[in-house]
Amino acid sequence: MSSAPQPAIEFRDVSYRANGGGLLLNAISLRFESGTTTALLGRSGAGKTTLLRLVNQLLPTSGGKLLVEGKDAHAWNPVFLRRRIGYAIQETGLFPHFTIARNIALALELEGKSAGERRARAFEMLKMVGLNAEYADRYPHELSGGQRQRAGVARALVASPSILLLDEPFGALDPLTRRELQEMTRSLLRQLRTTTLLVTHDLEEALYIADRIILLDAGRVVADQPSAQFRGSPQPEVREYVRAFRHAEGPQ
Amino acid sequence: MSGFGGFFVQHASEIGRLTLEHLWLTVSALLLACAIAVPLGILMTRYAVLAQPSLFVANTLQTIPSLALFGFLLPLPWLGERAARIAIAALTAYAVLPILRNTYAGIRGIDPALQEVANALGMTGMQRLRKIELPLSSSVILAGIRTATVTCVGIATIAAAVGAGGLGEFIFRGVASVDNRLVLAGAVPAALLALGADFSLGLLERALRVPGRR
Repeated sequence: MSSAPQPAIEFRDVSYRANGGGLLLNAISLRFESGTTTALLGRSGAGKTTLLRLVNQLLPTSGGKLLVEGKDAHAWNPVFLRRRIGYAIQETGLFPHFTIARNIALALELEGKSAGERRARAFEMLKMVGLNAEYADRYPHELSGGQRQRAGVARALVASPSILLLDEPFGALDPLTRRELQEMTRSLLRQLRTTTLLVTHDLEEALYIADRIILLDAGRVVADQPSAQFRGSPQPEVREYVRAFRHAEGPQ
Repeated sequence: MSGFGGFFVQHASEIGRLTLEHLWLTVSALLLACAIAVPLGILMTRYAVLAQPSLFVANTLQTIPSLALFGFLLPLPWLGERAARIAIAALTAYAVLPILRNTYAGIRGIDPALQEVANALGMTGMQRLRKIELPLSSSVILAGIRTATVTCVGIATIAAAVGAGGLGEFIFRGVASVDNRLVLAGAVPAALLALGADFSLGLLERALRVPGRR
């Protein structure tokens, strides 16, 4: 092996087959260097979310080798692995029976941190994601969609994870709120240097937040490029995606 | 009608005693049923193979006409002294189904995204159960307990057939002696018990309901 630093996540010829079904991911080989942000683009069913869920072992790989922080994903105790990985999804998945502060500090609660420490950290996180401290003791249904999404990001980051997985975290928001959250996430990630995988349909979002874009189609990687070069790529699959996206967005 | 009022007053202490017996039968059976059905319902959500057979057994028990079940129990040689315990066992069999069904459905009905997030946060199975699944399904489970309670209060009147006591004693005596006052002395308190339990458990159920649960 070369002397390059160990990647945070490495897929070596990884495949995933759904129970008795077809191949959802086919011979994926990818390295995600520490501190980088990568967007996974592709149409619905391309395998983006599946790829994400392999990383924190919500799904088991069916073939190949997946290394997380240098260790085989199957060799990790899934509970410990997941506690090192932040995870946020569309519609946030905030627990309706917990206050915002408790939701945010849940990862610390699971680790047995004291109530005082959890509370202090929850307030820190609220500030970090631009939420007023008064929301700490409210319940999720009392917040707007954008506020909930901020809390969801705060929860994912509370334990200072080395890896962050975002599965269309802003998918359900109106364009203005979406933009605000993209800006917040981008600046947070620049500041924290957390290795991040972001699943999205939205090309603009990928270009804006990520350093690198991977385009998936039918369970395979069809393009893998630095964001800056993605739009200008001569690759037909990329051009098709970019064109389709522009069309969907309407004339500028 | 004046006869009834006088009759009730005259038999107040006996009505009180039988009502307490009735409560004892019902509450014991419900506690036992909860102790069986809640853990079993949780196991059913963990091991899918358990679900169908368990529900089948509970369903079958439920379909046995209660008078017939107590009738079957009558010839048991050691009935006499242990009548109350046997009646409680029989009542438990009836109470299991609604609690089991609701525990299973309550947990299964939790938004799968929340279950996934619980796992993704690194919760152990026990943490997920305690922090997420039970709190989010508590009102549904309680609704099952409520149904079981009302059923049990009713069926417990038949326990008197095996000599287990309870308000059914009045009813059976009333039927035997064609005395409607006796029948009512058993039926009215039993109905009030059922209504009272239904109402108070309903309040509790509402209090436990989680706002914004999807």
